Amino acid sequence: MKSWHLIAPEWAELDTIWRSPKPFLLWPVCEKPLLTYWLDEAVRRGIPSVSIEAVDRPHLIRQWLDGSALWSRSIDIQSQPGGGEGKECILVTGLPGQQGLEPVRTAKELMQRWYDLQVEALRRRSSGIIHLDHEAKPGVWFGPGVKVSADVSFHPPCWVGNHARIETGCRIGPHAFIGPGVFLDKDVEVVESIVCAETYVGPHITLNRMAAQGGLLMDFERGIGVEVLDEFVMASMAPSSSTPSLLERVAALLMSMPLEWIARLMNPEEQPEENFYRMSRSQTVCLRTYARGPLCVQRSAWLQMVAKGKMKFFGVLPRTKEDWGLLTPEARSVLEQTSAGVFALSDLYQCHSPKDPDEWIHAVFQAGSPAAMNKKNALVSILKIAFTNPQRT
Amino acid sequence: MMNTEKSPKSSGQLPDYTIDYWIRSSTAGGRFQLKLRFQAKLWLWKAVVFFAHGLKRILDIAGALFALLLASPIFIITALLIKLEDRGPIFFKQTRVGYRGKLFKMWKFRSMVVNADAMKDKLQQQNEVSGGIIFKMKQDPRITWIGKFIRKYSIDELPQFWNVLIGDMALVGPRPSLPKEVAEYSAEERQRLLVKPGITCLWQVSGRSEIDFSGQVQLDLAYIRSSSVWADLKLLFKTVPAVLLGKGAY
Repeated sequence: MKSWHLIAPEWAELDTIWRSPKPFLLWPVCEKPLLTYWLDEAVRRGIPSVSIEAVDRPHLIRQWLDGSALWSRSIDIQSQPGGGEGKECILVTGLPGQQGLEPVRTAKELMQRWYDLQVEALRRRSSGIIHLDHEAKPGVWFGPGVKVSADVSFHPPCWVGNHARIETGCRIGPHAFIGPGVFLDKDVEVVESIVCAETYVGPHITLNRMAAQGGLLMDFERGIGVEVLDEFVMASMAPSSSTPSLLERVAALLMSMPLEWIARLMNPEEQPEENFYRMSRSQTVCLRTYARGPLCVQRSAWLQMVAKGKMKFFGVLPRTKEDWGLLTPEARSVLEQTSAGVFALSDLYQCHSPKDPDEWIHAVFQAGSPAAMNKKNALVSILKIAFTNPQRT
Repeated sequence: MMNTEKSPKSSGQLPDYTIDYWIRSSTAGGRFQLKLRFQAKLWLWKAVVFFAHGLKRILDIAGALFALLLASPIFIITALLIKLEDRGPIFFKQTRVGYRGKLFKMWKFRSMVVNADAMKDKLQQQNEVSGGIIFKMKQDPRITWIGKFIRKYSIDELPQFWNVLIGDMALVGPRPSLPKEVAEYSAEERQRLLVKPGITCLWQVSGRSEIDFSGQVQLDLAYIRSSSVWADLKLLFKTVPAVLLGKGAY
């Protein structure tokens, strides 16, 4: 049996609607990512080894596979094209065995392909195969722990992921894909649409040929994405990775006042520099930075934002709108998913500002390396950085 | 629970309560009320999720601490007996596959001779579990004298309460598999890795080693589908007589 060489499509540039933090191979298709279907198929067919050629964010695929023994096959990830000699090369544009798929050319087609994959995955399900989900009635699949109120109508085919909650008066299907941990409030209609994991959809909303992910609404028909700012209409229920822990917030609160007092003493005449930083798609904060003193003193005012839960002690440096504009789309997509911090790995390498030409390299490395972000290493880095005395950040 | 009637929205008419809702959402007071309602729902749902997952973890920690304290005399006696029998190591740690395929070291009291793994390959043909993924023999020559006793009453499994305490395992969940067993898993069987492995599970109280592998997988998946804190407590209580009677253990 020949080994497989799976080639991930380079569709990151087409992903202008969702701007997903994950490469296409890791996009959810019903209860699992697309790549899982291929690796399951490799095991089923007895393929001895699989190599994955992914130019788009290979580190995320590596992270996803790291430390696991789920497939028990040798899986190699390469970020450069080539290396498929003597192997069966497969361009992963759909599910295993899907024939005659047209190449995706536009953002709208990419969204449509994602929806089509869900439809195909659900069509292939049969009661003969053991699934964790159970078929409540023909074509209606429920994951474990789903809670459905009275007076909810289901129109097959549809799939509801584990621990989803559906309130009274909802109408689900046909072709509705409700992700794990989703909360559909009263009287919601989901027709030919996808609701991504841990999304809240408010009362009386109708989703027809759309996808909802957190506060982002994507329209398949028009090929557009809209950010919904009213959380009672749509919101993410996932715990934010940029939210600091309670311990961090308390420590920041205790440290911010004495450090800022020291900062004022060290900078008696100079006013701190004020800048607006974009922390996420919808959140901008104003941060004051002092000119003199060690980093912990210069950035003492930033600690207030940690106490308020808007940034972490250790993350990537916050960026202004102009700084974001300087990044490549790939770097932007990686850094958008990483929380901003008072101290960053780049500080260790004397890059104390996003305007430094090398800072983004350290930031992208930090964002992609779980080892750099783990609590122990972060604490060591903070202790090394906090008392360095740069000229100006 | 389910009906297939057409909703008023699909027929093109909006019901009065929907119109009222959207009118309310366009006023400042109404928006404030709706935001409060959303926050209340969010916290309520988080509490439900906490009770589904967090409570299980609290139960695991409390149960593991209680078991470790209660069983400490048994730990000391067993450790002494193992050491006295062949002077080999007291504990045996083995790499197992945990939640979502994460590898961890599982602790056990050593119940086999020191070079048991090397002997296993020679004994493969005498495997008594159908399916060939799991290896078990009723008269396994590698088991020591004290090992027979501690295996019969599952005393060898007691150190796994430490794995529960540090979060690698849960009190209730599918038994953790060896990496080379997982290598043979089909896509369906791999679904048992979607929850934390545990000390006891449905098949442990339904006949333990007498059930074949596919039966074990079926029971594991049935457990995952219907898992709840209440179901876990019931399984834990059922495990006690199964262990004391040594049902299906060898």
